[in-house]
Amino acid sequence: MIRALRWLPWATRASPLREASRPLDVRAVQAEHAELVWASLQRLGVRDRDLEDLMQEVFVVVHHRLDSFDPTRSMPRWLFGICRRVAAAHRRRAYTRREEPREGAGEGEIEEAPDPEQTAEARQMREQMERVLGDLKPELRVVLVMFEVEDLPCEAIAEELGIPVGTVYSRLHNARKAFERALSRRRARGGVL
Amino acid sequence: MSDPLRWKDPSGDAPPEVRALFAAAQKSRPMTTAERERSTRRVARLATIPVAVGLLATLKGLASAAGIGAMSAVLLIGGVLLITDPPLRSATPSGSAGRDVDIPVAAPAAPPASPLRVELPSSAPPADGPASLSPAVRPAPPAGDTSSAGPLSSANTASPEAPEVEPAPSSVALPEPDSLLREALLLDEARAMLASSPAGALSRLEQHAREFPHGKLGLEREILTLEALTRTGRRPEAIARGQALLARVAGTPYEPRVRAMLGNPP
Repeated sequence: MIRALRWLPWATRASPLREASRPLDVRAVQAEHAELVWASLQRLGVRDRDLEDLMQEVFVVVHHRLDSFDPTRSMPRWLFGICRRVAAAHRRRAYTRREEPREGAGEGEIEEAPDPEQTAEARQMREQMERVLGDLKPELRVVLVMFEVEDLPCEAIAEELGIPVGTVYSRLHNARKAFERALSRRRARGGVL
Repeated sequence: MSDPLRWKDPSGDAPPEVRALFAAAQKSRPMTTAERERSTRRVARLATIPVAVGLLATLKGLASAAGIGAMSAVLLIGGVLLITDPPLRSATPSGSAGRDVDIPVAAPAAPPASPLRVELPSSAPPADGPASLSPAVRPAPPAGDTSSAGPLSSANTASPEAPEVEPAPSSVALPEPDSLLREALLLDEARAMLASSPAGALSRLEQHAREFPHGKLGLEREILTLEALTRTGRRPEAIARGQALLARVAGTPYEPRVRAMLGNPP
């Protein structure tokens, strides 16, 4: 009665032939792009202690969706899209628990690990920065962080994200405007970011 | 085309306040070697996950696409599958939710008489994007725990009331590997939930303790419980349990991990 499944178009997609022709597997993607995923999640505001788990979530999605990846398209761009959605879901969950994303530091920490290099003022600035960045669209935020914080040239940003360099300029322009607007809005709400 | 001046550049046109914020911003840090190795190991385990696991995501995707609940999708697809007689078995990971939908079909090379069981986890969240796939995924158990586990597709995590699809009665039972696999899957599920939902992780760990009071992975469960308790704000309880655990893990590879959690490195 397997015939009963044939009229369901998706029922036969996982044929051995199809499997054999699959060019990539998640291990290859991880080997080549782990650093990109790692950095992208940070740029999207994922805090240090959640990075490893969220990176694994990204690769879980990759594992499940690799069949739908078009090899003629940019893998970094595809991965960034996944990172963006995983980070957004994480942010929603963090918001629900009234946690601030990217406020802590320290690999796998359980207890607060004081960082002697961080002054209270610098930490406060970073938290303010994070809140304003959190108001930006992810694709704008990432370009802004890569250019303004990580000092990457636009060509490198374009290559890493798999987008044209013209798009980088455009996003950078829009990101700056959006950042200024977000800053003003937060100031107008009460002077506290 | 040259790049624009950066905002934090003294000659840039950013307002002083903006410049100060960007000057104080934190750069991304690279992965450490240990983090990379851990990721490689976790992904290697993930890559071994058979398709039956993906079927749940598939059902969720179908449910999402059809605007019905996951349970309805299970019942609907279960109804279709129950009228088919060939055994459905491990195939490939499913496609994306709602669009590329795969149903695993029999693979010629697969070993016989390994019935597929499709079960709905007790707390499957609604499918609302790629990230929602993760709870549906049961990462393969750690190497060494499943050396004799056989095809992973033969069992996935389950809630007692979950619907089951068994194409044909089979006397083939995989009691020992099956229970070990289920142990590992429950713990992996808890581990995956630690960051996003420590209370949910704790619930999974309690479930493991109930189902496997003398399980082979009891130590791993206890260590995860310490972390889950800490993350849910129950630090004193975590410390008490950790100190009690120290005697059990003395001399094992778990000891440094427990000590580190207690803030008492060896």
